[in-house]
Amino acid sequence: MAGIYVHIPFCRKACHYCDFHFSTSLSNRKPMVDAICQELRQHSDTLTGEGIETIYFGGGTPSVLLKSELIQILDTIKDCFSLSAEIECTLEANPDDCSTQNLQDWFESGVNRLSIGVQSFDQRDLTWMNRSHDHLQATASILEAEKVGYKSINLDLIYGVPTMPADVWKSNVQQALNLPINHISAYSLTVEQGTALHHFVKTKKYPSLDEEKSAIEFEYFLNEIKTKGWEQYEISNYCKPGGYAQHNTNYWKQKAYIGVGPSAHSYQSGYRRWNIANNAKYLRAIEQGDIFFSDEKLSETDQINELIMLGLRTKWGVDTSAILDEFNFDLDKHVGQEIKNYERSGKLTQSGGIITLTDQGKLIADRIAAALFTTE
Amino acid sequence: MKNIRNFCIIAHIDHGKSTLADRLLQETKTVSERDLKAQVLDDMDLERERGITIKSHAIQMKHVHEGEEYTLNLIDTPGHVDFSYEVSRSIAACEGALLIVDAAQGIQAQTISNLYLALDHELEIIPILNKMDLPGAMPEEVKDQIEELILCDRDDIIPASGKTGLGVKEILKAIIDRVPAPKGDPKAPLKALIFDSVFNSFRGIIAYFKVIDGSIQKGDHVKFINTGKEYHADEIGVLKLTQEPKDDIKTGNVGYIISGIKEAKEVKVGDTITKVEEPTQTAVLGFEDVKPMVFAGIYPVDTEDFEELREAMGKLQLNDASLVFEPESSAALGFGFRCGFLGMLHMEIIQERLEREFGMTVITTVPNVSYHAFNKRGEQNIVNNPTDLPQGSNLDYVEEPYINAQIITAGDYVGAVMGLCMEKRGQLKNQVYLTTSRVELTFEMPMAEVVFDFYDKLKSISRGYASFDYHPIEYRQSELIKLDILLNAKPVDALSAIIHRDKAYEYGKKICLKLKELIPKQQFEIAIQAGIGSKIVARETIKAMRKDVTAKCYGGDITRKRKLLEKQKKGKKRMRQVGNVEIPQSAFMAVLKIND
Repeated sequence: MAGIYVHIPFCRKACHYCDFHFSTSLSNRKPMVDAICQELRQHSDTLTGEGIETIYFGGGTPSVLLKSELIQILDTIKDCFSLSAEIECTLEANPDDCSTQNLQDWFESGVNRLSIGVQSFDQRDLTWMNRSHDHLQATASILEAEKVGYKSINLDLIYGVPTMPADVWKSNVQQALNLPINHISAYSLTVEQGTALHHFVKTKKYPSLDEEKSAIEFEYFLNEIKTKGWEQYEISNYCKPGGYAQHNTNYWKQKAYIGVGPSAHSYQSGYRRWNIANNAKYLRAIEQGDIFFSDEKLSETDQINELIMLGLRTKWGVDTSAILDEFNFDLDKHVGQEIKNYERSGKLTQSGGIITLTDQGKLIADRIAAALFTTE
Repeated sequence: MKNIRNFCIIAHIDHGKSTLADRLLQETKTVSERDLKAQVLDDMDLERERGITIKSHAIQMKHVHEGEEYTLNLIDTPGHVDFSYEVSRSIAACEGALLIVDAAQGIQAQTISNLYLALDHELEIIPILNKMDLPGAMPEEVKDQIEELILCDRDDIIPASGKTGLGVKEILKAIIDRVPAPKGDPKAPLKALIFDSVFNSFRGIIAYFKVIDGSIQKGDHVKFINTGKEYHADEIGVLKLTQEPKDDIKTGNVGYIISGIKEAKEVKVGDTITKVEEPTQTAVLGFEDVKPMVFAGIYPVDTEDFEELREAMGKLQLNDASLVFEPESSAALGFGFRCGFLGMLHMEIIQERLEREFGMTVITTVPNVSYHAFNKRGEQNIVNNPTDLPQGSNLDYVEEPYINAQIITAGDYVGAVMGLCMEKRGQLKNQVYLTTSRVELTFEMPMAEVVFDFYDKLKSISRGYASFDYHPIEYRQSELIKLDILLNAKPVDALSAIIHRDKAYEYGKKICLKLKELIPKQQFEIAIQAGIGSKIVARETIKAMRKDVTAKCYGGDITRKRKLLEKQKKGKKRMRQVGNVEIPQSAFMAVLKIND
């Protein structure tokens, strides 16, 4: 089982909070698609024996691709890899790109899951975030996608926005739950280095984040979604029964994946590499046959720590016996006391060698992960 | 002896002493152009970076004047108030002094106090107006100041520039013509004054001395009068750019002695060298055991590094006898040392040397002075650590050291300077106009008040136009109390401080606020309190950590996030725990940053 991530590094507009790699000039789109296809061909022998089960177009904004470009990439993938019959093929789309025509084009090309960047249904928030769509497009895009035939739709929401009144968040949650979707990614707003938001907060143009507000909104969301029969299967990811995003779930389970395009990461059995996060340099390197990535071999300790960090974020938890089997490392022997302390204070539970966080624990998942890390 | 001239240089930091000294060495061909690294006399990296001479040195020059060869011994002096005793011993070894004044900045307090020391020792003063090349030079005004200060003839002031070489020949001529030759008795028993010492990792301690009476020969069996220790003079010699061994050093001359001494504390500046067989009847006057003025705890960052720190401190003490330390332990910080320093600069230097020379990063606690605590029976206890202050019925009263502080500033800043000194519990003792625009203020104030931020504050309120010098005078009784800092009701011993009762509230409030900034949120609420005995005078609260979780963690985020968390875990390992509260190292130095 393996996945392919395709990074489309173009956006129409720069959202204030975003620190992913993109360019707002779309002029290099054609050469970029060619370069991505070339990189895919270089990978064709790296995942031998593993069928591709998921394809994910992320960004940036992959919905800026023309139908022909999308097909070009998907055809290249089909040429180079063996695909599973049940493949999950996700495309991240902005609501303003979701015209009926586009939705149909993607569907016909093989996309069977959409991840729609709604973020909020309130125009004030969208303006504050510098999103390219408006609040009407947010709802319309999803209703239209359902009509076209998408069975699997995710929408992104952002909470913890300091200027967002509490009732707007509640309303956002309710509106989302009333739409024909089976997945929500709800992110706490984060101020990342180098973003416009970071600058605005630093210069006091925007208020700084309010941890308490974010926690309250998280708790509200968690409660609402559970009463509607949804499931939180990762810190920021929620679905109706069975609606797991396969592609992302593979990341959290340390499965192999290939990432193509500028800034994309790849991972396979303890080896991770990441492409240069610069469109022009990426294009030039691909064209001239130069190295366009850095890489790192993870030590066993690194791998164990990643399993802990990722496992704690998910409903599947940290499988201590699997770690013992694979690395001959006994977590309980090294951080047994820490585990017990967190268990006693109601932050985690243990059952059958699996450690999972409680709702209280999820609020401080990073702190708990750091405490359970091994430093040898 | 009649052709020997011993002189020192009195100057304020940055007034160009070292550059001018280099010019003298160049002019007398003591050092070749090629060898002349900038500021030859400052050979420690640290000294050069700070632009001041920390340890004094001596150097001998030969100069032919009107057909006769003269031996000129330049005895360099440290330029910081922390080292005033060493300065006094250097001065005691000289017959003359170059008074170097920056033509743009005029006389500073430090210069004045050293100048009077020199006048007390009846040194011949040669005033020099340096940095004449600067566009901001005000020679006439500064000449007025010099004239008033030493009552010299205006024409005797030599205009000079270390940068251009202006006045260097005139200075050499003045040294020979005006500084008297030493007046010792060559036939009397050996009497030599130790004015400095340095540590050499191969040869041990090298002591620098001036022969006052008699002479010393290689191989002599000598005795250091104050320590009572006896040695053989394995090697003696004079100090050129490097040491030059000699068979004897005669009356009036300056030299060095190597006698296999391993520890700096055996060689005390101000001590007298004599011969065991034929000792002098009188030691050189003015010997003092240098006493540390400022105390602070020094702890290893990683508790396991205590032994390593002990070793490093021991090595530092080998060449810095003024550093004293003894082991202590703190509930918050573990095992460390209570160290005594000559002053704040000395403390910073030790901290930096530990880091540079031994790779030891340390936690330094709040510095304090040495207090005298008295019980009802009138018995005195010396308190160098706030936690040692007796409490309740074991304490009758406390005395603290007072200093006499001299501040020279421009007339415009007198009000601000007085305000600052009053706030620091100072009492104005004297106010003298040195010129129409320069005022010398004399205060008596508690040493404790000048320990941390006084000098910085002084500089900022006077925009740099104030200089400061002090001497300890006596111990006086004060209303002093111990202020404790509590985290969730547990006292943090390393944060306790002894302060004046009237300041306890304000200080407590400030430190609680600062700690609130420095201690990260934890899983539970943290109460930060400042208390005197059982009475709480200030409180702040750190709210419980509500949320500590990354929003997005996909393929591209994993490595970066893992590394971040690993770093967090390492940082946490270095934190100290008091009760259930984890305290970062920075918090222990909070007091020093209280006004940031």
